[in-house]
Amino acid sequence: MSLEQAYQDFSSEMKRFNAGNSYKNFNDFLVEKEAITYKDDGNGVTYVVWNVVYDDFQQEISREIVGYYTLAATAIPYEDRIRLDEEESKELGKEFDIEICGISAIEIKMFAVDERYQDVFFEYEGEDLPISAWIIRSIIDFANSLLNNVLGFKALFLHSLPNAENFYISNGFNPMEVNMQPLHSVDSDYKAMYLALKEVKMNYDE
Amino acid sequence: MSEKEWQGQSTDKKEGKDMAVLAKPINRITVIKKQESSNFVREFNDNKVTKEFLDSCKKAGRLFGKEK
Repeated sequence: MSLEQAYQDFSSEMKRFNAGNSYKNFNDFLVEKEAITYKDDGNGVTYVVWNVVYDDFQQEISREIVGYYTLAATAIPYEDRIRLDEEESKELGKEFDIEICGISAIEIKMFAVDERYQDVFFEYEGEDLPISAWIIRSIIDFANSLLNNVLGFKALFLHSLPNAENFYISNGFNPMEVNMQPLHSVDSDYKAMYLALKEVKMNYDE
Repeated sequence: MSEKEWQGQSTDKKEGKDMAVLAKPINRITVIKKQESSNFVREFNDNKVTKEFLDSCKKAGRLFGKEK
């Protein structure tokens, strides 16, 4: 189902999304359909998470919106060095040149859970976690399947609100140091965090 | 765009911190300079996600079916 279809078929439920009064921007992103413009501009694709209840005949009885997340391509730029060939090295008077590289990544640009599900835990296959943790881990699994089957990248990346940093650390993310802020990430209010899926090979140390 | 469907019923609510866990996009650029780059890349590689954690994430992937 496309985002447009979801707005068409489940308009009232989409409009019910509410992450809390302190998160108006996140509510508006979905409720005011900013997610569609965001997608059309190539800034990110939004996925909606539903809780769907079925009867014994697998017919849908009801559904509630649990949360949403928005994914986009990004990169973490860093400086590496390359060895110049002998001729160039003599001409420039140096052995190495600086090369700007990028750690390819998928950015979780938006992630919000409806307040009806914010303190809800769910036990599945022996593991009891908050719904939000199940969602973020499903995103990681989705990303891992993409990089193994669809296109290559090395990391997940996001900006965390202050009260969510521990949540992301518990779910595999690591904070970036102040002087290591990557692309799209300079803002002291929000902590840049990454989850490394593949290793990066660097020339600089050699 | 696809949708994820959570098939199941929740357990009882537990006390916990506010779980409106949120991320937002920022739009400025900084390049990690070479002196910090090698430290960052080393740390990045040391923090590579474990197979055990990815297996847990696979479980989460199974939990959320894809709605057509």
